[in-house]
Amino acid sequence: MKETLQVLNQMVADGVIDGYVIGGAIAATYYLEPIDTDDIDVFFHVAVSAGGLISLSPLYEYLGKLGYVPRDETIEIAGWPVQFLPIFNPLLEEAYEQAATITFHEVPTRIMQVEHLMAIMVQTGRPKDYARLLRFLEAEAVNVAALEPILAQHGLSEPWQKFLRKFDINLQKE
Amino acid sequence: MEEPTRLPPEVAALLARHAEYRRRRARLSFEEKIAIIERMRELKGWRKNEATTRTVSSPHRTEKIEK
Repeated sequence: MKETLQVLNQMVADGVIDGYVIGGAIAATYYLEPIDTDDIDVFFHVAVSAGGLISLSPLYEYLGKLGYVPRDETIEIAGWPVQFLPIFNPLLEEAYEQAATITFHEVPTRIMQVEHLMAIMVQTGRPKDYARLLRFLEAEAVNVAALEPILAQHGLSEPWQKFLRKFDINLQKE
Repeated sequence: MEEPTRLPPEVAALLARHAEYRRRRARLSFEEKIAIIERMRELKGWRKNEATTRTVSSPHRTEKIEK
């Protein structure tokens, strides 16, 4: 994955994307035990055209010239399928802005803070998101006092309470 | 008030051991964790530049066929 991250960083340096943050299972793995996944979710920031459209063509062209090939909804970069996901709502924007900078084998990269990862899981609300939320709570990997204002700010308090009720979780007791 | 369900001791012990196993793995470095994920992918038979599906298109339909 080191080489994959180096390519992502080079994309930023070359102006192909303005910046990126890693989310999904790879980011969750930073805080939890290793999570089986086939790809890296890369949320990226790119300048929007005057018409308000985001074009992925420059990104595909850039990577194509380097020999990296699309594979289903991902592009395989140095052995890792990468799913490029545009930042499209205020929560993702905040997750991008407040991302943590870490290193992987001395290569700097940016990953989402645990509170934003969890808020995005609440927003997405798939069964696998609920399963990951449970893992975060079980591992006590999150400061709930820091999470709840983010949920409230993005209109996610009700889905969060619904999740807690569904799994009979009382955070006051835990 | 309804009595909470009690797990058999051997099941409770197994779950406790598994939780401890997960906590131990969570304390690994990020590099070690990614190495484990990469190993999992190898065991699943993933190979570089080898798609697990191919797309077949016709004027009427597009479908993925598992290799």
